[in-house]
Amino acid sequence: MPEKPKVLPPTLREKKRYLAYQVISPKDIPLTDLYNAIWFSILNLLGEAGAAKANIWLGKDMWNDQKKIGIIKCSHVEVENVRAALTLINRIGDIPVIIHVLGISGTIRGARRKFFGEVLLSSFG
Amino acid sequence: MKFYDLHIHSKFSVGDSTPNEIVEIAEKLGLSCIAITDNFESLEKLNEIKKAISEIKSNVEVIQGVYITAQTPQEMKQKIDKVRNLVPLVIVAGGDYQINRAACEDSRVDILAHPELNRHDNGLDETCLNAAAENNVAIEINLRQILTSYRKIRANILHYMSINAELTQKFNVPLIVCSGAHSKWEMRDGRELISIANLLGLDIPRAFESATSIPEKIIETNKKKLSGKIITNGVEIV
Repeated sequence: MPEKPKVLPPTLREKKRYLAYQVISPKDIPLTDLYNAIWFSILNLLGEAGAAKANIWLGKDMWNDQKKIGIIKCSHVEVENVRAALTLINRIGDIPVIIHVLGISGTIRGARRKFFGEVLLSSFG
Repeated sequence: MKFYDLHIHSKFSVGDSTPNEIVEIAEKLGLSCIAITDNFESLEKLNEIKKAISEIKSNVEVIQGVYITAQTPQEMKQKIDKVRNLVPLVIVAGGDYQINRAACEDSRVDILAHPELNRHDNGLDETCLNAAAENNVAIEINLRQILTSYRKIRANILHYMSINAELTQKFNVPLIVCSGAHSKWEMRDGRELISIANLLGLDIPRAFESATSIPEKIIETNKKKLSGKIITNGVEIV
């Protein structure tokens, strides 16, 4: 008996989008503080039920420290609400901040290539 | 697509940032056109702001506007008389019902800002909305009001704003979404302003109009009026 459930076929998986955002602020913000602020804003605006529907995921590998650009995964139907929640973050601690959404991608690979500027091995064939 | 933000305060009145700092952030956010709308104090101050704006060199179009605060409708009308022929944008600070109604009934007003400010209702009734539709006065959704409030107060503000959004659609009144920023850190990209409008119940095409075509139309019409191409409503030199 396998320990994990089998991966669902693509048609049955939940649809998701990857929002790339840039953090504009006068000082550097620790990543944990940023992620806490994003979660706080989403929970404040959408509530726990809304956050559950939005299916947010913030990972350590979804942040580019040099460019101050991050990626947030969310459900494809809740993109606008998540965008609105990101808009309403204006301060993290004492530091004023603007979370500027750069664009949306359907795959994490596309988002990383487009917004982080990563060159993938598969690009060389 | 051109994104507009027609309500930003600078250091010349209640704001914290200089026009140059504001334009720098607007460039980063990808806005095409912004309006620096400081509170009207005197004509000398208005010229001082005009000079500061004319010295800005940027790809972002910067327009000078005036934000009129008044205690009574008479005071509001007097202030509009002074500035209407000098600037392409006149915003009236709403909140008080008498002012909201007087602004809706005055065709020289371009935007009625935050009609629900400090109120326990949406600030507009059928009479106001009919007048606003007739005089083409746009009703504003002010992001700063949402940004600077929390929990219960924010919930109430969102509720009143969504009522206004729905009513403006029913009465065919133009709706506009602006940041109302008092500092460069309160400014937001046009697309994010649209997401706020969408949050208040506007469908995506109408939310787009509120930050793109409606502000564009206001600015274009007023520029023509100032240059003398539009003589009166409906009469234009082609």
